[in-house]
Amino acid sequence: MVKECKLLPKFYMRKLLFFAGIFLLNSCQTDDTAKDEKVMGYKPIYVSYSEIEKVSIEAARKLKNPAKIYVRGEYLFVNEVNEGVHVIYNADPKFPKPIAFIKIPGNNDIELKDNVMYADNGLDLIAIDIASPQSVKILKRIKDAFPYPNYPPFQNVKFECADTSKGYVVKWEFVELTNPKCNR
Amino acid sequence: MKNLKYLYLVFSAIIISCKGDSSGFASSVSPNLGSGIGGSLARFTISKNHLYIVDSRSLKVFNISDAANPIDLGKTTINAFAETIFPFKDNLLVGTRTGMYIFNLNQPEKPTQIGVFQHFASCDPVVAEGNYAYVTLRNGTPCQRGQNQLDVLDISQLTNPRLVKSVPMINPHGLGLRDNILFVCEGDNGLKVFDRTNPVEIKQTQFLKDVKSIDVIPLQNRLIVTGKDGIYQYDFNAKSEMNLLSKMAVEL
Repeated sequence: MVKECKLLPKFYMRKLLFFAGIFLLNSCQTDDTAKDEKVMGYKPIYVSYSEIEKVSIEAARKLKNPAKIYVRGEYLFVNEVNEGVHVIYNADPKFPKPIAFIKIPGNNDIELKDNVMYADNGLDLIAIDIASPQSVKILKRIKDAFPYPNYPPFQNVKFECADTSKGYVVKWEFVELTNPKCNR
Repeated sequence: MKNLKYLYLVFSAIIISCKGDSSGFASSVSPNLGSGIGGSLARFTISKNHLYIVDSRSLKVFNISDAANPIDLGKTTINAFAETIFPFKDNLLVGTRTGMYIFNLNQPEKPTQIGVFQHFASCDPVVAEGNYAYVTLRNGTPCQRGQNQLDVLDISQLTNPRLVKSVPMINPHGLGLRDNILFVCEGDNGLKVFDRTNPVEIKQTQFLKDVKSIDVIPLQNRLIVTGKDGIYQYDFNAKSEMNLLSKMAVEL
């Protein structure tokens, strides 16, 4: 290979570079003039900041998108991705009985200490009193404990850039996008 | 909301049972009676009077001596994208996309990194017992460059975790162990059970291919599995025999 390179006349090398240059320039131009590129990618779905703070206890409901689980004593807690926590009475594991759903928008993780549940609620960490189920009492809200979800949890994808002014991104929908500006 | 009265009783029962319960799984895993146990994919954990949360590149600490009033004590930076946290003795084992990090809690308000085991980019929850930690490495979003395997690490010296064995896997997610049994979730491919009488030379004893699984919580002789199709509960014994108790199905 080394020998061949040495034998290649300078003239051809220059010509080669010239054409390579033209080719590169052309390809750039093609990109610039391309109109409305339609590609599959991720679109952020927002929930307003005021809406996301609405935490409540609701009647038990069927499982959907079950994710992380947590056990304490006879109770099983099942996170529904970004929606909240199913509370299941599990004293008899042959017949687990869903008893309530704690609606916590933007929730994925919980921990418990005594009668307090710690949960992520969008950007915030909240401490909820679970002793009085008639109404969920938020004991404390620590603002901006978590970073804003700027991008979908995938790599090598295109997506519509998230706009923090529109609210919190609760999910990313895989749809056809026109000229998405963001990628990762 | 007809069940409110019932709910109230139930929640009161939670508190009473947890305050008084000094036996069972909760206390054996976590020293504070008022807490429970999460799966291996958890990002939150409680150790004594502190709540620890991993989030992207930080390990956050909250003082919860007064449970109702968590106090933000700041964060420690992790040089990797952290995804899971596992309390181990007075330490935290943090699973990141590029390795397992070990933080010591001698100063609980300020965790100190004392050891790290690095690998190529993968997703990797971790569980540990005795001198060994088990880490699953998974390929696929959001960890596209990773391998699919289970690593066995010797953590007898926490400052110097060493890889002692790698077992190929299909697409492992969460995992859990109880005594000599190790459970590994293989995502849509099923749930694997290993005998770890020899903690390094683990032997596969079961492969439940119809159980789509992402994480498990092994209790005393009972396993709770979470996955795309629902929540499964099994009895199991020392011989790894599994007996399905119930399945809570997912609404489609």
